[in-house]
Amino acid sequence: VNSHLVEVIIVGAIMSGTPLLLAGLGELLGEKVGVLNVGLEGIMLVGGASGYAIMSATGSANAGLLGGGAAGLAYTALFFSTPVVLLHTNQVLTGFALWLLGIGVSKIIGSPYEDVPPAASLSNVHWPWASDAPFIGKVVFAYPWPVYAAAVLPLVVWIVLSRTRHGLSVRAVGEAPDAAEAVGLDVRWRRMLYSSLTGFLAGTGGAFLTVVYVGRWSPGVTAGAGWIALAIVIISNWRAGWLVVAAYLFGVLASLSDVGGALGWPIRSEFLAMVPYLGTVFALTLWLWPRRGQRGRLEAPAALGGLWSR
Amino acid sequence: LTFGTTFGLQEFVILAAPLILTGAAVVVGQRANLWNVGGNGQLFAGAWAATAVAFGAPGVPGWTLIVLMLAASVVGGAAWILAPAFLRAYFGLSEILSTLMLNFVAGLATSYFAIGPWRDPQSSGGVLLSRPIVDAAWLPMWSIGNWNISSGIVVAFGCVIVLALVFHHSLFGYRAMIIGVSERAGAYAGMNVQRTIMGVLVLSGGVAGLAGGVELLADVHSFSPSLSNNTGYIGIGIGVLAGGSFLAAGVLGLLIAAVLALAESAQLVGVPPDSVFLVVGAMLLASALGDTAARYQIVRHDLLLHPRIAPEETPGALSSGEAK
Repeated sequence: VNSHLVEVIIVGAIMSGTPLLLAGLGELLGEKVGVLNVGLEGIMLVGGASGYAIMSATGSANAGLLGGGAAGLAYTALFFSTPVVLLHTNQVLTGFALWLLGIGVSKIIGSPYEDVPPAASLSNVHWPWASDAPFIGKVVFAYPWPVYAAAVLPLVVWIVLSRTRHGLSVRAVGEAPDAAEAVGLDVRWRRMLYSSLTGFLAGTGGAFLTVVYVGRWSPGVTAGAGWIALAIVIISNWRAGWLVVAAYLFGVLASLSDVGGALGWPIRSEFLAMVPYLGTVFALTLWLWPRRGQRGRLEAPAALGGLWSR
Repeated sequence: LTFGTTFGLQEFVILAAPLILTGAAVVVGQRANLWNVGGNGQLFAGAWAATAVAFGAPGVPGWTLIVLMLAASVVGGAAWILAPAFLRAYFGLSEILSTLMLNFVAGLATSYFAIGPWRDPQSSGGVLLSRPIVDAAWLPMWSIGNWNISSGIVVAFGCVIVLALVFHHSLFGYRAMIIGVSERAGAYAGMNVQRTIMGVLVLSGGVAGLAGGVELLADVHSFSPSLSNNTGYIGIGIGVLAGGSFLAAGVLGLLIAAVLALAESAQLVGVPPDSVFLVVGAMLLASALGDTAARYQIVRHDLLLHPRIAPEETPGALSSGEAK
């Protein structure tokens, strides 16, 4: 096998898998406290547009990334977490509202920056001696810092959720909110916090897409990344470790059309670009196959999607 | 600005028909508590099938061709939702994710067909457009006074009325409603749950496909990636807001079409053309809040007649109220 081909595929997979990983991890945090957010795509669009706008205004890619995350956080806290957690609205309905509203909001935020070349970019982290290594240096040690941050974050989430007292209380809120309330935990506060963190991570994911990976804002630039992120949370059985694997595997599929174009494959890019979407349906089917007849999601937090009020 | 001009009114009616149909498609799913969010893809599939008939059967006379093309669009839309419907009915795969994913596939397939096999040789550069369909296949415009009203709106409202009758007055509609409330209750009552879910979703896809047919025959007349103009996505908002009522979907379709037509005019003064998503999203959020608020009752505590805390009036008792 051509080693250049392998390099291009791995780099493409990790770069296009990173936004999926960030958004998926955000969704995981929200779902762990029992809040299902189907508006991930809308948050990513708002984060992507705001991040690109802030990057253009400040000339700093880092400011753009963090600004995109902050915009996603504010957008989600205001239009999703508050109605869902404090006012008990239907989670799916509010999520759809968040999605459609996000399409409109992102278009208005991003319209002055549409197809404007990026004002800044992130350079790759230079690791002493490792970045110059023959193969590893090109596929492992050749990314900007957010890629490494996104890869480490699931480990942090796993430690916090499964190895700390706080994590136990968080999982309790998602599994049995009544019991959590009965032992004196503040269910609403945890739901507000973690469902808003969904917004921060999905917004950062969107900003990574526009500021770092694509280097452009155009309406609908996420092209379903938010929905694919929603699917990989299911496929990874709500486990942070499997989420990393799933995100990078879908990164391979998502980068196929770019890779095919770069390497001059004799197949139309439209057909290569269909692969991640068909792959999502296929992977969900594969995930469900051994679970058919068990009436669905056994591994999901038990209180996922339900209303909870004191 | 819009309604004052005959052009504005024509535009408004032309925009309304596909919106009503994609909204109605979502309502079909909602009757059984299913979410068909793949309207945009089914719309493309419907328009694709109608175009294929137009190019494949050139000699057919006017009305026959129109009926054939509209029928093809229904079949196309239904075919596009077949796999998600099957996976939902028999494996319980979330129809939200599967129908949505196929939107992107349809969009990509559309650009392939518009660039490739059906390309209009006269379209230049970045414009992706198929050859126009024959004039005989255009849905006629009716002149009322000096207004030209697109007959697409009649197809849309006809479809809405038929769907309302089917879902309110047939056994199928009843089964759909019961299964929407509880699949287990339906199964216990001896209903074929899987077949009903398949039926509802395929019907929903067919209606969304018809939206594509109407869009093609009444408005754009040639197949292109910009054909849907996000109608399928806006239709989700309409369908949810309609809350299970087909007639409400019809009215909301007209309302949102008015917003779209206004936005098109307001573009001249700097309003982005897609601000319709802001309107639809805000309406959805408001409806989610209203849905919840409707379950609460405002209770007025009249402090003079029914004092809640009155520690000083209960002498002798250990008053905890004083601490506050």
